[in-house]
Amino acid sequence: MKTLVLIPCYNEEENIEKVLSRLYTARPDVDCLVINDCSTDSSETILKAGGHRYISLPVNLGIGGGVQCGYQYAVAHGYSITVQMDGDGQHNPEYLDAVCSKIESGEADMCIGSRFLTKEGFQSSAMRRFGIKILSVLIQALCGKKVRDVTSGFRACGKELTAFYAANYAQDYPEPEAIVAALMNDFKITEAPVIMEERQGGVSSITTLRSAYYMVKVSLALIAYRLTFGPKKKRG
Amino acid sequence: MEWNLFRIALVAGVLFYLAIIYFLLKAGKLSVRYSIIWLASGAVMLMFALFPYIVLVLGDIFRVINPVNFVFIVEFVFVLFILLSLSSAISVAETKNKQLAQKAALLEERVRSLEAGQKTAGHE
Repeated sequence: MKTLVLIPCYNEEENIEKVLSRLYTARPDVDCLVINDCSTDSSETILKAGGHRYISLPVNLGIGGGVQCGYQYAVAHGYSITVQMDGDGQHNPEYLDAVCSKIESGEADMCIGSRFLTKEGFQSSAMRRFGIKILSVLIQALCGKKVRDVTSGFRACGKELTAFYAANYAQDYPEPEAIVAALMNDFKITEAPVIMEERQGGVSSITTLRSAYYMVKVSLALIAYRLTFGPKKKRG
Repeated sequence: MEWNLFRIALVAGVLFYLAIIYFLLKAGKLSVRYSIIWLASGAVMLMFALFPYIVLVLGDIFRVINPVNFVFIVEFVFVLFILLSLSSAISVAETKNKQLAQKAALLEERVRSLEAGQKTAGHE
């Protein structure tokens, strides 16, 4: 199936080349689109020089607006599967098959690469895991579906969900909210075990200081989304 | 109610305020949409200044001890609504701005790939 890998990139000059060459080696058959979110470092020069396929946002929109733009690209070019992968090398392209296979079989509309199913590889700090657990329980309470790795940025979407995200996608810290939006609109979500690695360079977009703010903001956003949504929608 | 200095200052102040809104509107620096709530708050203030009897009666109904507090409450509510409408206006503008940026980025990519295609075609 025609697959597009979206890689959001904001100041990833240290990683992006490595991430891309690793992806091309592992899966030469998939297309890859880097979304340069108005990086202030040499990311764009690297992308241009390397002849990579990329889009360059004229202003910094944050991960939500950037990824949404990638979904719009996927819709315009008729891709059947859209996979999101981080630009920092945390996600191993070897696992693309694992997340894509459940979309290909029609088992789910979205498959999230989860580091907590087999509990192998980089598990991130205890604090971080605790925060993810809280969000996971919150999502289960709001939508009645258990998703373990709610903040994972490694996820594959089918055609219909790609079109949905092209039109509606959360901003700021969008991963958990995108899950709620998908569940409320009657899309099926599943998880596949993946092994993640620690980021290879640069700085994560979520620093320790911002973690508390992140938790409050995301929790409120999820609750607000659920409250304003009304009853679950049934698709077609 | 006699015309004391306080009332005169109040009327003059409100007229000055309405004049600023008028000139901003005329200069096109304030859209009619956002001016409505400002004009409404000015109109209410003017009414209170010209007919203080309204304030006394309403203050009595709502058991406000000092009538001027009633004026403050009403104005405070206006300010809250204006602030909320500004947040809403920013959110709408933000969404439009985001959509523009996305569209521009997609078009830029398209132009770039078309140009690349043209270049290779020219070399052949």
